[in-house]
Amino acid sequence: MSRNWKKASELSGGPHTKNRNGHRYLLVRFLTEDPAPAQAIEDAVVRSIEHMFGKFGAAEMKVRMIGVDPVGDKAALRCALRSVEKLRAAVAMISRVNAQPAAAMVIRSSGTIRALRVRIQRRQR
Amino acid sequence: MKHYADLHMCPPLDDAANARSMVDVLNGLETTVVGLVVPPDRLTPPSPVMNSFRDSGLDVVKRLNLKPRSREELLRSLRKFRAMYEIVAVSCCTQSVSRVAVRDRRVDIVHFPKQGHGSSLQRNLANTCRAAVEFNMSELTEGSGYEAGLGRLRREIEIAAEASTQVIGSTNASNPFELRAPRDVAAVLHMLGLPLEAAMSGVSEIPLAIVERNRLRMNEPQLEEGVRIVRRPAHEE
Repeated sequence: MSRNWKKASELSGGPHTKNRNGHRYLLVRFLTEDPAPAQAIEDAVVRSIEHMFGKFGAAEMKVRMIGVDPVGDKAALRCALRSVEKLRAAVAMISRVNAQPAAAMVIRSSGTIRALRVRIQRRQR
Repeated sequence: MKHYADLHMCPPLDDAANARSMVDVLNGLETTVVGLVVPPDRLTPPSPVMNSFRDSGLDVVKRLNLKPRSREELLRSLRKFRAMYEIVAVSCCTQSVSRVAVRDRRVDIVHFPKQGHGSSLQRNLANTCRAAVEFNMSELTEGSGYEAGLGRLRREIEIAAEASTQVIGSTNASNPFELRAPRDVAAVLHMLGLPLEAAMSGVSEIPLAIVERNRLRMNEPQLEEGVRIVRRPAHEE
């Protein structure tokens, strides 16, 4: 008897997805004059998302900062699978971090944190 | 590998340190073709900035930004400078300039700036537009009127999409902090209402096609647009 169950990938957002939890991980480079603390980077991302999509949109995107690298110019962000383009757009709109001119750009996008292949410090929760 | 282009960069042509920092950032991105704004009086010899971009392996194209105040001024500038540049962009500040710029095939890119009356993409213009309409990231990340800017760009992108006008995204960067990843620029265009495939083309296929077409035109100026020499008779080689 054939089972008519959907694949996990179909349930989590479409045929192109492989990860089951419906998340996407982005490695973002932050270009600042002076190294910015992790909190300032997170604030800048959240502010940009809320500015562009509002609090409701931000809640839907489920963005979380997974970690920053020790040098402080890269951060790993996680978001809902269907919100990748929104997060990319919000990241592109960041022009200030910690009241200093800054640029942010996504340098890698992946379905799993391991595939980002960078050593980032897991943030203490 | 997909190639991306950013056809609008305007770093100060004498600031080599700024250019080096921009190159460092660009090397980490996937941008392979950059359009550098060069005024006519700085075309020769090539500026140090252009050399430093080229030395880093980037494909640099010369771009002219025209801001004519009248139709006549636009036509005069096109006659004079078209053959010297790979990209000619026109900033449409008045209706009379817009009407000519969108139809003239010597114009590659049209841009509708924030300021100025009558400087927006209208439906009748979009329907006859042969040039690509450019949206610069700097319009959204700089200055005030963020919401108004988003609304205006959204409206213009909607009109361009309805009329199947080509849309390209650029950064208009003059320093490293204004640079953005081309894929992120496409995401912004997508958020503004352009379908994702069209947005991706706007930072890759469309700008690359413009550059290729104009290089062909510059190499063989006697040929009509779209005509290419496949081979020559043996006695001519």
